[in-house]
Amino acid sequence: MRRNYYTAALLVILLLAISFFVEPLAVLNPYNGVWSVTVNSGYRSMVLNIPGLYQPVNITIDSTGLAHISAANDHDLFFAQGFYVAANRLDQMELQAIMASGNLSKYVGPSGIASDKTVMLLGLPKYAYSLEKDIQQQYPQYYSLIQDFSEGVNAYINSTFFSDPLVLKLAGIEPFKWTPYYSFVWQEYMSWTLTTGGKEPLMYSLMYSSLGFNSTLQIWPYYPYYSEQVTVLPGDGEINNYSLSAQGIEPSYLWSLNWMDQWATGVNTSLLKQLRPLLKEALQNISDPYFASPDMGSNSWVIASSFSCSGSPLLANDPHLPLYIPSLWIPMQLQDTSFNVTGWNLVGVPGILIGHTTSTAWGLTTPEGNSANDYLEILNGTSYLYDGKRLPMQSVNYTLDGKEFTVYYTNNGPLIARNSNYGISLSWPGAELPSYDLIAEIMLDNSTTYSEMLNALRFWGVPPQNFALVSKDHAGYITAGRYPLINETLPDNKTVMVIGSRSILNGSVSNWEPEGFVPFKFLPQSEDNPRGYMFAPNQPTVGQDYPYPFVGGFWASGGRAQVIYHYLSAKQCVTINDMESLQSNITDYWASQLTPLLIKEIHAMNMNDLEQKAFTYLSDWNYTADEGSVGMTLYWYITSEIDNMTYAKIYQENNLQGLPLPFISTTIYLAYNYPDSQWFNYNFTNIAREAFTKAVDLLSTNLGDNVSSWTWGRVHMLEIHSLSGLQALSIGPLPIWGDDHTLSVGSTSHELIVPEPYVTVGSSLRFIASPALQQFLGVFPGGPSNNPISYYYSNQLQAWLDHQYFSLANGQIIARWHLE
Amino acid sequence: MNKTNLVIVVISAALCYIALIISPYAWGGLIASLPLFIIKPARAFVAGFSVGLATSISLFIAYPMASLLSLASLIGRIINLSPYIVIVIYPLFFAIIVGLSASLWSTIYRIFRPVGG
Repeated sequence: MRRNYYTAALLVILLLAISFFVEPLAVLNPYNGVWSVTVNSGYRSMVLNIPGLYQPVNITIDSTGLAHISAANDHDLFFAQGFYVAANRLDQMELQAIMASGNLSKYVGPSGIASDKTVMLLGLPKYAYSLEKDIQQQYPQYYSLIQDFSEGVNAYINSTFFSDPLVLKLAGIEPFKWTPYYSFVWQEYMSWTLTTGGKEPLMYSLMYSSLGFNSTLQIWPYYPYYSEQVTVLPGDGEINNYSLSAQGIEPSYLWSLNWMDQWATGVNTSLLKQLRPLLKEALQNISDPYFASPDMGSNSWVIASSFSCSGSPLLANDPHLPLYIPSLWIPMQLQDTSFNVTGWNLVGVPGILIGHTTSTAWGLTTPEGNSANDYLEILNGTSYLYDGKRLPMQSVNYTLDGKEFTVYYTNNGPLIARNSNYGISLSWPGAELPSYDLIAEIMLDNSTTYSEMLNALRFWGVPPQNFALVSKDHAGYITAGRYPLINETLPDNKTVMVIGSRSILNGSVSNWEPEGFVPFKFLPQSEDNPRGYMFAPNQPTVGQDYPYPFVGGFWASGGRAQVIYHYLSAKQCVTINDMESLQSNITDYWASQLTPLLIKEIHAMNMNDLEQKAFTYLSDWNYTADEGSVGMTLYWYITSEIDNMTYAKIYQENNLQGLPLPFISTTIYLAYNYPDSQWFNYNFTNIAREAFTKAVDLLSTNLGDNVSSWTWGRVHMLEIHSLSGLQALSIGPLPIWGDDHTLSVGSTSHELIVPEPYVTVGSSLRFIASPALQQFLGVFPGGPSNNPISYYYSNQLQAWLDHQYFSLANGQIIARWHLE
Repeated sequence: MNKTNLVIVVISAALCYIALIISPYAWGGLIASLPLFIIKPARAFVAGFSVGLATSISLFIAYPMASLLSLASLIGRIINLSPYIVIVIYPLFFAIIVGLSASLWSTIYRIFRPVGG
């Protein structure tokens, strides 16, 4: 009897011991666990009974993974879009919404707190809420479509046909109900991510306060070196017969001024020096550590009828974004009695953001001119100084990780950093006025002519974007969106409205407050430009005579613009094949300019055998960044060593580590024109030779002495992360072509490590369109599905790597979903 | 195995399926093992373990094998386990719970059953 008691006690103890494993193992339950996702690993034809539809909807999925959604009315179309996107990307949608709403830490724990704090500090959830209310009241017809999309998402969540996504199952998270707010908050988040002007004036204030005006301007000129020929808007900047000159201001005078001086910013230079810790804190506070947003570029160009071999306008676009798996995009066609649009949906937001109708097509790139501004505030407790008066700051309270967190607001916007009686506030049109980007997008989706596209873009707010537009007979650009204007009084007492600032502005007086926006008529734009082509890969938008000077213009170096310009200007006319070839181009223009000088400097030095072999590879290099190139590897590490011995050293001496190093075009300009510059320790020849020796040494130490094996693909690799953060769901590392300046981009940072940090940002999709020829091609580095064991998780990746395209029109149907 | 034992094993197996379907947690095995109290403790463990393992493993038949293995391999990379262990670990724990609890019910029954019964 007693033995039975002992046995029972022992069994209870054993069961209790096992209990520790029961909960974590639930995810592997053969019925309720993750395994049910194996059933959804491929698309299959289904008839689905979905409450909420007015009439049946057909979704056919083709072999490229593009879904063709065909409905009888707009309600059903947007409803079905929501259903289809959720069926493929629910986990991604919800994670993005959680992140953009500042709720990440509730799901991922303390590692999400910094991200939540950034989102709350910026006020994105608050602005999304206001935007939703505004659109609901002002544009109910568009709001209802956004609501239909949400209903479709919820219909998927409530359906029992599909298993919950793997990531949600692994995390043990039940999907939450989708509302239009989540679409708006993701729009706000992406808008902020692509906004210029939040971080840049802070960085330039730091540089200016340390290096002074001349040195800062030498390495960061207002217009990057060699950019005169390659502005988005060809010419000197005049727009609709309006220019700086027309206002009686000489561009050469305006651009010779110190725009970081007190007359331009209201901030004393010596005070700026004291504020360095505050500037650094502000920079850190507005950078979301969870969603990497390094400097991103994008490419687009259009060919007018006059320059197209077929006489039909052409368009190419490849927006560069963080590459995630699944992608931020999902391809589809939406078709009903009013819409017939095909392209890429930004997951979580209704409609098609980049794509084409039967007679129009459009693409987007970021213009890199300030649409946000940073202000220095003088504080006292919870009040701030404004035009001599003390005004109370507004505040919004949040609870984060059980602790209260208050965001204060001045008249300029949220206080993003504070140090005693000084603070930095952020002024952003996305916060101050509703940004009807979603309305613009839906209008583009329904456009039939060039002028309808232009009209749609009157609604576009933030961030300003270069819109490449083509219809059957017209091609052009407009940089649409809200550029806040600041009224500046120049040292010669003339006044001019400028866009943005070079460093932080004085917020304690009204002088530097934004006064309206660039009028639509004077936004940079051109239709059927006489040159026959235009391009917008983040280079300066306009020439120096533009009537509203882009003082806050933080342009890309223009290397990709140079490739496009030289390629197109050498052509008599352009075909679709040329467009593909150009989009696949991996020639580094800057390398073609710098390498001959490097070779000249290096060839006379004494070299050992290894260096001699490396030098031969460098000399024979054709400036293309293909995976097999040894010359590219050498060039990359030589220029990295140059950066390290020059700018990085001076940055370090001035406590500027972490700020972006000058462009390679600056090195080229200085090396040719000022080889005895302080930046090169007064001797570029020595710098070039030392950099070569160090690069060869670094590569031989890490890759061995066989120089022929120092291929670019060994040191330059792509990794496409899962937004969930789970490494096993990521793709790569894979050897990859390109660098920061090649059109087919493969950006990585110039680190002196082998291999380089993985490429994680790139062409998030490639699109070529000709509505007149009815040719629409595209590819993106992923697939529609979020199921990692599905072929459609990454079915387009190899084609993307190989620079191949799929037709967006005629894929073979592999599955039909009949929704009724 | 006599007829009674066969019947209770079948009932227990049915309860195992219900437990596995209605709850993701393996604690359902505690209920599913109840009918096995009639069997002596050592045999109850064997019977419970076998029923628990067989029923939970059999549920995998519902899934395409190739997809199942690829998913197991993926999960294995996430949690650092071999794909085969990923597949069998839940059934194994479920089987142990059914076995141990069957043995427990059997022991308790023997403690409290009427003298001479």
